[in-house]
Amino acid sequence: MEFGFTAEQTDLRDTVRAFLTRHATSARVRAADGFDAELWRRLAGELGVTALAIDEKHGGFGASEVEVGIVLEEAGRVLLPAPYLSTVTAAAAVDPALAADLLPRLADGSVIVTLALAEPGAGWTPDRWACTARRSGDGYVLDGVKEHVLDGAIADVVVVAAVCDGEPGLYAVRAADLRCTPHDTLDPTRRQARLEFEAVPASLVGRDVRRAVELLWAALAVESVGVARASLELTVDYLRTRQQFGVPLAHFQALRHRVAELAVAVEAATSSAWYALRVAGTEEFTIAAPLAKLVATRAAYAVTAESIQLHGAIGFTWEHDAHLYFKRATANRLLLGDEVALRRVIAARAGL
Amino acid sequence: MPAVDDIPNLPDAEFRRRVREWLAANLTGEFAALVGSGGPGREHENIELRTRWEHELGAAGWIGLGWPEAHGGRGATIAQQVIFFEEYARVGGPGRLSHMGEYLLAPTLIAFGTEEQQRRFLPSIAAATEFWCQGYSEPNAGSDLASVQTRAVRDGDVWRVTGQKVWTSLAHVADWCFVLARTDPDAPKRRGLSYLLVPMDQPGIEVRPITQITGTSEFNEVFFDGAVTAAENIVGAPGDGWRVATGTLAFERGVATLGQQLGFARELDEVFAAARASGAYDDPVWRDAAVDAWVGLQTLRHQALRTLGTPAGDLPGVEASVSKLLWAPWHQRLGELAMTAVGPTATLADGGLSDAQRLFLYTRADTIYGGSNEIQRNIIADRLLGRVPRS
Repeated sequence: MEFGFTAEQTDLRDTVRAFLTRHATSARVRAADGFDAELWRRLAGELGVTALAIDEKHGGFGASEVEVGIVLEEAGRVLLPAPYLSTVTAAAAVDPALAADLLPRLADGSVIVTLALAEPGAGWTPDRWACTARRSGDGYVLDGVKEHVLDGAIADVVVVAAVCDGEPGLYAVRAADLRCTPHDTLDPTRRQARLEFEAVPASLVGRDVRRAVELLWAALAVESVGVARASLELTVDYLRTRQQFGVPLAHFQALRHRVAELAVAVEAATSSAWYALRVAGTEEFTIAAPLAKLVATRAAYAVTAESIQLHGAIGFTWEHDAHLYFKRATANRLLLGDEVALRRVIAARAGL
Repeated sequence: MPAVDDIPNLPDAEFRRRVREWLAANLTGEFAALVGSGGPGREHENIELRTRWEHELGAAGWIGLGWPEAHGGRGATIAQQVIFFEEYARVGGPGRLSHMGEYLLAPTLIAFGTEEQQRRFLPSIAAATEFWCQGYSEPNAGSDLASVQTRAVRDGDVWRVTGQKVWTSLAHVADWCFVLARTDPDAPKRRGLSYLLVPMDQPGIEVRPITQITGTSEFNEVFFDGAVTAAENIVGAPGDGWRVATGTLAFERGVATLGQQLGFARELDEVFAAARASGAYDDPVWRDAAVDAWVGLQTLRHQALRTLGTPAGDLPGVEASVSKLLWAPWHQRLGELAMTAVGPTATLADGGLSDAQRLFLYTRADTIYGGSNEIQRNIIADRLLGRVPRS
């Protein structure tokens, strides 16, 4: 098991971090309303991060989940208001043999793509999803409703989990052909939408719905590591500078020990999230991905909640970023299955 | 004659096969009685037979696997050391008596000892012909370890040691003790300490067992009353004791941690089995907590693999503290879970403690020994938030 990063991977992290530190500032994240088109254009175009894990023959760089994970973690650190997680999970979920048309456009960032999985009343349990695909001419048509679609209102193409003659599959549809109702969201940095399909033309782009869910779990996990790390750093900086009783807050052991526990949670989350990415190509991923999602989003929630407390009243204000981290952590924790649901999945898959 | 030669060049799978074969061939006969013995809460069991088992391990070359070959070690890779621990845990190998020499003293001697000290002490640790104990804690120096009051005074060719150590694991079986003692009472408290190697079998030393929460006894009080050791048995210079004592590498502990986790996995399996037998398993609330324990164990493994794989890590130097803060509370919760798996029967102790009760009681120590969890949090906080200036 190799957990280290190559020099190229470290360079990638440095480049992305420098870019995001400079451009994805708090002011810009707040102004973006969930989508900063200019930031997205430059990330995809100049940095090429959408092409990382896509095979070279489809216009990508042929790198791996590790490179994508690095960018996701960095995106989490700044609460990136751009559909990176949506696009890369969709790209990883489709079958290259079926999605040869789509992949080059995903790689160059000319289309925004997202996965549509959950359904109203059926939550995150694939067995209960009722969206259907029917054969029609050379292709398919889709009927049904999807809920909690990340970046659903800005996507150009949606990859939808649907059942055709009892067989689950992933179907690409054009955003222009469906009815989209954007939501206001608790987390203002990533929007969701409800999508409705009535005989919408679709093409089969993948068959492994279960893996699509796992990829999203792993992506949310590693992104949450970035959220947790940035929130912890913000908190540490505050404790070192804010003075009360004539000394920095960092001098008080009651606070020091809480920070130490948060650091331990972040370390564990980092380990489980990266473990999942390292085994993404193996059977172990089926358990490692939900486990990483559980551990990392729980840690991010703990860190961001404690961050508010450790900041005191300023942490409760709209103007401070603490609540933005808290809200992203909350969304990541609840989306695609909360801890109880994930434990149920893990128990079933591990035979506990 | 070592059981396996040329370890560094052996592929992992082949190494694992050899370890497994050796254990299968040797943990048999009279030693079969040792399977599962000597673990947490059972350290008092079968000392004599376990001593002979240590001799077998030593003769086969399994002690000092990770030491450099120049020091009589086997130069095994980290992966190989982990494999050895895994295989040892898999067959329920008995609790070790030589581990304090192998994992605490030997790395210290390799890092700080003289060539003569290395030549004198490393071979007998590797052969398990001399056991060691650690003389650090005192009645007034627990978490505040630098407050050690045991005195050592140079008297011609010897050091004379006077004072009291406490919580000294396996002092009653040890041949030697590495002792943190004050050699300069006028120096600032961390600078007046020295690291001495003291033989246990002498009139100036008395060992009194301390009965633990489990009713058994694994640790002791050790009284030094003018105990002597040769002048050359000091590691580092006089006054260097704090640096030497705290310089023990966290690296080996990481390796041991992965092996320890196999023991944890077996304990968790037993908890699941007990819950199935008692019916607790059918309660979804109980099962949810048990699955969370399983998740926690996987996380311990991920953490150990990541920090072993990247020695620099994200919090260099404090990985051992992070690891302790993850595993110790986890193990403690497992002990609690074990009791709820059994239900009210866990309140009965007819015929002695059950495995669940031993686990439950013993794990109260996990968050205390080796630096309490509060001390570990201090270490991490010092790194993240800086040290607090003393007023």
